[in-house]
Amino acid sequence: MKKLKVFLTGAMAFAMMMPMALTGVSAKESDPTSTDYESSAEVNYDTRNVIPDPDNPTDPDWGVQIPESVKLTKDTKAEASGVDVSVSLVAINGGTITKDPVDVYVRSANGYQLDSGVATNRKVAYAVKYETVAELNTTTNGKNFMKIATLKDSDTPADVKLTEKGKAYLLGTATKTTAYKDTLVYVVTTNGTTPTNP
Amino acid sequence: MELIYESKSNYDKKIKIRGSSCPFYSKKAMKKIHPQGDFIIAGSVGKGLKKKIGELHYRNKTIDYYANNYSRVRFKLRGYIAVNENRYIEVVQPKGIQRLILLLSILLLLLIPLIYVLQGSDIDPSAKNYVPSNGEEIKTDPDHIALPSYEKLIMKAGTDTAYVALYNPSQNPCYFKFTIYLRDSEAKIFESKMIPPGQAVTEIKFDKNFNEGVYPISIKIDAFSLEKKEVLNGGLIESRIVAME
Repeated sequence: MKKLKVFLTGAMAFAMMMPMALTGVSAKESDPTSTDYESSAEVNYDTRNVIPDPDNPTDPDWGVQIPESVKLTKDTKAEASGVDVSVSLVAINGGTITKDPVDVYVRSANGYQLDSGVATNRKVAYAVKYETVAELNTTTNGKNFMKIATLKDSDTPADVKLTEKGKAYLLGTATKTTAYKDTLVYVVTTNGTTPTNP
Repeated sequence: MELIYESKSNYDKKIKIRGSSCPFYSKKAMKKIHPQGDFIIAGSVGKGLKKKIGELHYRNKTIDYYANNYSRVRFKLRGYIAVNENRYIEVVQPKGIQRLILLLSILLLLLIPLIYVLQGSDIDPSAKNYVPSNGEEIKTDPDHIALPSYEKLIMKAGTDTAYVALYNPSQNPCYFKFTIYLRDSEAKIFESKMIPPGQAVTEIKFDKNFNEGVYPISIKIDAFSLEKKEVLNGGLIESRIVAME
């Protein structure tokens, strides 16, 4: 019984000390008459559990939405009537979107020319225009990467920029009754890396 | 050269030549008569043979016979006819069209599953249904694709494997193929096959071990249409491998 009493007393003392220890505030600091303030805050960085394992693989952090393909018709010969090629920051993993700025670049595999693969008059020029950059076309950009947007989520509404609107439209005229194709490659980076042109 | 058909009582096979039944030795019978193969071939008879070298007289008929360097693929040796001067004429027969059809049918039967397997092999065998740990929340616009982004791939130093969900979001109208390059050397260190929407490959085995450190990488995402597997617009995600002790 005596042993149990000693244990309970010790346990209570420990319980009383715990809140102060956890907040890092010493008994001396809690004395309002004292002028000799002393406080401590433990800074931890425990990385023991950060390496993903087979049962808990790393999820995607967020996503960038790009146009699936550029489907142009004879009626899409101006920016106003062009097809939507907007890019957006989107949540994939339970609604999380990065707060870091995300730079998005684009390049055209055929240098902004739709290719039919036939022997003559095989290509038709087109252009892509994003809100904040000049028109991208075969003359000005060729097959080079061009930065088209810095997307960002933020707690400050004025800083939020989740979508960069864009349109693609024909510049030339097709003379073959066949399928003309091109693909766009979008580079997504958060570390300021400029992609290398081919 | 003219040869004369010799009648033998122990001929065991017959073939029709110009409407008449012509007896001859089967290969089995010939092996009994000449177990050592010590006989001379003067030529061959049979439909479709070329390079006539003489005539064989059989009863009151004259039959052309030919050089015996015929194609063993197109013709089958049936047996032998004894002729004068202790020589023999080979009896050959074109291999039937039925046999060819049968062969082609068997080939086709073997090829169909092979083609099926080869087509199916575009899909990554390790891809499996996947939902991110906090659920998935995508509101993909029509005619758009959501590219997953990875700020870093954390792995254990000294190993070659990272556990990362290379994921194709479920609403995407396409397959994804992931290829990972070291940005400094442009060396390819991983390549998946096609991953259907809503699936992921979660165990990434690189071509090399990574010691403790940070390695800039590019994750190339190629997209292909679901029906015809045509190339769609794609992406390149700039990221890094963090190998931790």
